[in-house]
Amino acid sequence: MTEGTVAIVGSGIVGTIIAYMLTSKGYDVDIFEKGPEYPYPHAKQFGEKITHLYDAPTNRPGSGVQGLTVSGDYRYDLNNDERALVVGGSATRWEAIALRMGPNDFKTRTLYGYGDDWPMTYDDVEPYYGKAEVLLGVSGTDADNPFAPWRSQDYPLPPFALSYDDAILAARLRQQGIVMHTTPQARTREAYEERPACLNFGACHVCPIGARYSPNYHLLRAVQTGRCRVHSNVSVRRIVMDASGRAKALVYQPNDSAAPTEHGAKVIIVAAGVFESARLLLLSADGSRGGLNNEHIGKGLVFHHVFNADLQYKDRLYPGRVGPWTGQSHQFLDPPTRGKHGGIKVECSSRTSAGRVTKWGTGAEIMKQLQPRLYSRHVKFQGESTPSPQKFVTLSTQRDRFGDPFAHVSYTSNEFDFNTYAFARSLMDRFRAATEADGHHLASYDQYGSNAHHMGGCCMGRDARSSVVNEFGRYHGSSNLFVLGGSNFLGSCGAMNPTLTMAALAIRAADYIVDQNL
Amino acid sequence: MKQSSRFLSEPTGRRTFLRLLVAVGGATTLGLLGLWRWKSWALNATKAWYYRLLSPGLEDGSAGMLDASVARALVASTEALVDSPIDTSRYEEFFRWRAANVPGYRNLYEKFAVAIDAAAGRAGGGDFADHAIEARRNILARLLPSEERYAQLLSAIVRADHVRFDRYIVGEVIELFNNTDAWTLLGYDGWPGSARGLERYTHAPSSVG
Repeated sequence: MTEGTVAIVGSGIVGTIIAYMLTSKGYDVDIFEKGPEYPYPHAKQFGEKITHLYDAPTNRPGSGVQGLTVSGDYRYDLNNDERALVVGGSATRWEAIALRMGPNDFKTRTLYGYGDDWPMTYDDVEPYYGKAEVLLGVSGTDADNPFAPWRSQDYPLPPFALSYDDAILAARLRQQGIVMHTTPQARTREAYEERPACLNFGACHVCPIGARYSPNYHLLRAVQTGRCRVHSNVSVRRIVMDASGRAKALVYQPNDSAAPTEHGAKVIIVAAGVFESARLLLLSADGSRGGLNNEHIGKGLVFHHVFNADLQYKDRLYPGRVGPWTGQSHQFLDPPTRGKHGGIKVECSSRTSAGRVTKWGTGAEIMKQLQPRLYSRHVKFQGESTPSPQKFVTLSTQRDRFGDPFAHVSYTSNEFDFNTYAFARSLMDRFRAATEADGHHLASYDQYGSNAHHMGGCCMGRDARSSVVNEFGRYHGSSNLFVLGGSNFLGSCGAMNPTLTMAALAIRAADYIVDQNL
Repeated sequence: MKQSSRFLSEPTGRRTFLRLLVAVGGATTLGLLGLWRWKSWALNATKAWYYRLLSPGLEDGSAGMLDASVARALVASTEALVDSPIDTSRYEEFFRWRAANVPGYRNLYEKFAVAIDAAAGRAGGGDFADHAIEARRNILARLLPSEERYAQLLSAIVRADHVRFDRYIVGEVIELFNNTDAWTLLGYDGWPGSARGLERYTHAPSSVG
């Protein structure tokens, strides 16, 4: 058995922020990551995927290690497309939109009668939002966004101005009383710390220079202290608890080894993403006294429900000229009808969906296929959702190479979700009319995506009767086991992208762990 | 009383009849279930085979350097497929990288070059790259599967390599084109994947003025 001070399961943005903060304060950390090393900056991956259109298999765990089964009405690939099991985790390829929840998002039960109130307020978290923005290097402004929540400190970097096409649409929207403003994001508008300024490669999911924040940036610095060890290509199979509820050790196994090993630690932190965190706790439940037997593990699962739309215009907009997403609207996050349905964030994606060649041919035929790209705009309606008994994580009948069941995700929409879609449709009509779109298409309900925003499964709350962890992520009944990340969330954090909140709560939890446990 | 009625009215006969009925009914149900399951299995297996046929994987083959003549044939094909002003060096580099790094591609590219040069020979002699663009397109049109499903299926059965050519060569050329030269053709200053800087994106492209 090996031993350390702090053991972290998962090397994603939450795990690496915790590791960085603890090593900065002089504590030793071991990180256990199921997936392989992932070079940073991501120049190698950029060359493979962008220059050579190649999805290298070395950027994934081996077969029999990564798996998931799904039931319900969610149609996209949660296992492969919506998470990255590599060192650095899913934020190695995120869009870096860095947004705060609004104050009302923390108390939807009290205000609107749905979901649950968080065990803290926006004011409690606000200072940590500021710290997270500094840590990630967020470029932004609230000067053009009248719907932004109050803040105690400014953004560390200036914003990315609206793109040419977004500025055209914003002017038209303004005439109709709709505000489209700039987008706060963890991308360097200017050089920041050791990260260069964005050069607008536009292939942000494999940013070759580190302008778009990747957790590997801070992981590298944690490792450089000499106090952080990263164990990659290992699967953590169990958390071992004693009768008093103390987490004694974790059991891990290198993916190509036949022998598991125990690793003891003073503090054990599970930050393995929504599905794997719930899975690990479920695998570790054994009914024993002090064990991980909380009945709420796996419950409270919720995604954002994102409805894609395409609009066409008579004028040439030239979309897609900038990698960072520039225009979005927070005007509909908290509408008067919230409660019957969720709030919606409207965002103009930097991706183009129209005007691609699908059939080879003469030059004229090729140009004809390409032309629609100039006149199109891709828009996303990101909707809030609520948990329900039909949304949960459990264990699958399929097993990994070690014989442990994979996670099974059951996810079926509810009436709140359908009503949110109806609200999205009404917003689409308003946008279409206000921007003078010549044509439009909103995806049907069944094509909703999640933008890889998965939340819940180990929800926070005041006690074990209704939740799994407290507001700092400490497992109820344990003194030293923590579960952190989006899995703690109650509901879908409104319609706001969850990562900045995850980062803020990670920083908050790190302070708590140092104070209470180290 | 008629004999049949007497038979059925007798307790032993009725019980036997009922047992027989249950047995036959049960066997029929099981048989139908089995047939349905087999039919589902057979249907699923056929579907899987059909899709595998239409989307064959790469054949085995080691990675390695691309011969100059093969590269020439591939670039000539690219010019014909998109029939637009492009930077051919980018596509040549793409093909060379694929051949050198992804097993199966060098083999596929070599087969393709042989096939199109042979077709060019039949069409008037010389290598494929020696023909004019229009002639190259005609050669490719005869070589590659057409869009109709039945034609694709036929190709997949009798000329699986040609389906691979379509999927792994034509498809990837089109994708690379979409991601690069297509943007400049449309009047953009650059494409995602190139360092475009942050000075121009708030204004109209330079092609617009």
